[in-house]
Amino acid sequence: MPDNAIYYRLAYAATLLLYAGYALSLAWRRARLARRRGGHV
Amino acid sequence: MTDSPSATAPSRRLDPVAMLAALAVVAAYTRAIWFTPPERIQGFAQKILYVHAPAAWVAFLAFGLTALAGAGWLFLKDERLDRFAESSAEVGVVFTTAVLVTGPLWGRPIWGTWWTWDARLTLTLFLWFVYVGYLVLRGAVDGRESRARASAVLGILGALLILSLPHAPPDAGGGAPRGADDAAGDADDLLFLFLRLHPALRRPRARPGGLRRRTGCPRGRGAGLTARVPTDA
Repeated sequence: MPDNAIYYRLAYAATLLLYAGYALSLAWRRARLARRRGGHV
Repeated sequence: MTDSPSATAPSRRLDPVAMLAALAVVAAYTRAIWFTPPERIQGFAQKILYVHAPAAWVAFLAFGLTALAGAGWLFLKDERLDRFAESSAEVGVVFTTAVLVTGPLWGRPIWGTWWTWDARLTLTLFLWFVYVGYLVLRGAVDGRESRARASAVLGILGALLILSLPHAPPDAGGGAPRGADDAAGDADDLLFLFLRLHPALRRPRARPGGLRRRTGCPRGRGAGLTARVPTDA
């Protein structure tokens, strides 16, 4: 079996970062929208 | 009928779909990392397909929904369809990014190269550029109707690329990764898509000109009565 675990670890780390970043971006935009709409949070 | 000021305002309460999506991501990663054996020939690199293939399917689904919603907007002029198309395109770009990042990380140990200009890979890259352009276009065009029309057309044209993807002949690199179909269908990616899309379908807030544009009614006190009186009477 080839020893290529580093690529799989890199891929999982990269996608986790991407998804987490996108989730944070959604949460940040949601909070900003709530503030803009007069504090209905 | 008008919306109350808080009709579509986001609440600080955690969205149950968001929580479910987060749990599904954790569950999918846990299962893929600790509870799946490495493949005999490809080794650990095969595990990349557990995130690569579902991301590709969800990205193509998202772009397909963008095209459908764009086509719907062209006929119905419903603002919710425009917002749905935009949200769907954004999710598609995120998942296509995941595909374009994980693909080379799988290709390097298995094909021996980070990238080949195989038709399928090139089309996927081109699709990513088209939908990044779609999002940039939305930010560049003033006027809600012009923006919705231009982006609907681009969204439909971009999705036509997806139809050509399965028919693209595999090149020397081998086209799509082998065994990709086995990994397709992770629910967490679909939940991510749904998480982004379901707020877009909520009833739009009353905005200056929003309801008026669709009904032809002026705003303000007595607006309904004024609208029923012919102007030339």
